[in-house]
Amino acid sequence: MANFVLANSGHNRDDEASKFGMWLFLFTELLLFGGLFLVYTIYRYLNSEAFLHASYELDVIMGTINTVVLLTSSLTVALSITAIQKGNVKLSLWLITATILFALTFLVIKYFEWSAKFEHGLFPGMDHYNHLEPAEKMFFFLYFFMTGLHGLHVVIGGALLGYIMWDIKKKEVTPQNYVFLENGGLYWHLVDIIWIFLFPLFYLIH
Amino acid sequence: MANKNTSRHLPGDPEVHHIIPYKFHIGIWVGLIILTVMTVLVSVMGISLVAFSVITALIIASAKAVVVANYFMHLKYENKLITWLMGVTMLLFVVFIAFTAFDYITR
Repeated sequence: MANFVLANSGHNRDDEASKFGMWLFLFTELLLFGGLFLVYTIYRYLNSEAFLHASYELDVIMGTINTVVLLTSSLTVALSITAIQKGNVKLSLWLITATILFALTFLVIKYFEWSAKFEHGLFPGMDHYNHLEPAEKMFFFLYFFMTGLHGLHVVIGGALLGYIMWDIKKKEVTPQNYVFLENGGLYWHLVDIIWIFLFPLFYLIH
Repeated sequence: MANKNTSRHLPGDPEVHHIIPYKFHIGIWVGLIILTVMTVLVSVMGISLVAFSVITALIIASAKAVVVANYFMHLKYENKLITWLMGVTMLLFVVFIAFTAFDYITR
């Protein structure tokens, strides 16, 4: 009895299943934003003139910079996975740090954008907003709700990557077992993909 | 433990991973930046082509999303089941949009 050992004991790990679970979660995220894109599509179809007019309030340059920032952060997190696969833990940590810094840059730019809208009284409930026609109200409501929900995802994604860095330091995520970093990366890329659609739909109506 | 059935991945087997080279990732990033510049230019310059620019913007955005999913998210190298389920998710979304659109267009 003393020598009885279960087959595979201590090795019960299935990276493919872990990633599969993460993908299933990402599909639900896509449908969460999908519902909002559906609302956007219908209201834009019904009020294309008002949406066009309202979109001129948004800053294309800031939106473009934020798009580049997020794409670059997606690159650094993808590179961090290559680095840990090749056993270069130090480089991997630096690349995750860069990703988190890009996440903060994105949020700072978003803060300035939102501040400008607040100054113009365009947040739902404010003076200027209350005097807009209903369809333009819908545009700004969707703008704040969708970029706000996306911003929340940026915060969560950044925090998740910070937690993974902590796990790498504790050697719980290693070049032999890095599926947690892969899943964190998957979440981060999803945040990027959602912004890829938000950007042209709100900033580039013209 | 001899593993006769090599097509099946069992718990405890060594994990097999596809390593994407650094340079390849950087190339993908350059492509994504070029697509971003394109979509901004089409929007800013194509003022008289409103409908055209919406469709172009969506095509470019979808192309970017496919590239991010395939290479940054390694979808191309994962189990094909994930790609199929991604297709089902997209199909569901198209059904949502199409059915709601039919309702509004035919009122």
